[in-house]
Amino acid sequence: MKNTGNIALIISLIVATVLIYQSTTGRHKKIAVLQLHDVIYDFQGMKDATEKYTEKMNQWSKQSNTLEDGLKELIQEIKLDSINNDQEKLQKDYQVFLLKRQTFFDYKQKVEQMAAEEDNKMTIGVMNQLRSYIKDFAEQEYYDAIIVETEQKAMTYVNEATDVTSAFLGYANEKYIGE
Amino acid sequence: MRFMANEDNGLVKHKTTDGIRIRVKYLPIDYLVYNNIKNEEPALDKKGVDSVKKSYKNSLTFVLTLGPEEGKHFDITRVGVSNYEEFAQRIEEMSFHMHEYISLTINDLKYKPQLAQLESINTVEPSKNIIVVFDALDDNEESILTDDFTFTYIDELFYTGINNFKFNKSDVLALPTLNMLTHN
Repeated sequence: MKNTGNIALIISLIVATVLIYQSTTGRHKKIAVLQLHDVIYDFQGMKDATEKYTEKMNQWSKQSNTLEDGLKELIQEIKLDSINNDQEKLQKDYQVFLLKRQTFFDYKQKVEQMAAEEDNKMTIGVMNQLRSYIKDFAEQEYYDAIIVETEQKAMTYVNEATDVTSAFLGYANEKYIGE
Repeated sequence: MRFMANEDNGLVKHKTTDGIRIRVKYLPIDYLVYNNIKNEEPALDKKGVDSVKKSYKNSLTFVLTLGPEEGKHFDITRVGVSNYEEFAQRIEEMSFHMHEYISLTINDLKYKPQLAQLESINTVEPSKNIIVVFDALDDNEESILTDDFTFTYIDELFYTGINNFKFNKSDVLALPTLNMLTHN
């Protein structure tokens, strides 16, 4: 709630600044609104980054599954040791089990950490890309300002004619593929 | 060199994201051959030059330049680096792991680089060059240059995302031939 209040205050200040500037300079400003949440999921850069992320996660999961399978096999071995009453082998297998279980937990923890880092890296990369495209788009189309709306809806009135989301998405996807 | 550097000729592409400029330059075969033979003594005859040309025929070579955006002069190797350990890691990544982040796509075929070599870290230049060479997938492939191609650099160092640079086959074919004076 506190954030919503802050966002509304910031947006009001931006709008007020623009209006004051317009009234003092007399120049009509070209302003657009961009629905960022609608862009992100259809932006090819996001789709490709998600695919890369999934590839990496699958690779790490494979390793994790191998370790898990090794543990399951060892549990079966320990059961057999117990049935056969082979105390010496039981002790040995149990020690190996403890060691492997620790390796498995350590690896899982490491994977979770790497996944979070990867997710963060991917998101920052995509956002940086979009930010630079917004700047290029604004310069190309002679916009003085582009107000970016995020998922937390800002309390602004938007005339549909000023919404450039669709045009920007086309522009961003073309830029992304290297055109 | 001037022809190659002129962006209108389509052999140089660049993108700037978050203060980082990524530039990809295609290096023509004639240019590579010339660099290879220019110091040969005695100068190679036509047959020798053709032989060197043939060795480059089925590959595509690029220079990937990572640097600050135009007008800025910070050292790219130090961006986001806060201590010596991170700096050493950055240099290791740029020296030995760049091939993991680069690929070339032609007609839906994906090529991984045969070589992705950092030129030098000892220069005072704020940008760093990486020479990237792609070879045909197999010896039976007539020519690697079958269509337009896209150079892709997945940036895991500077948070600029996935960077695609599309080149047209026609721009490569439109290159003027370098007249190499040879010994007959």
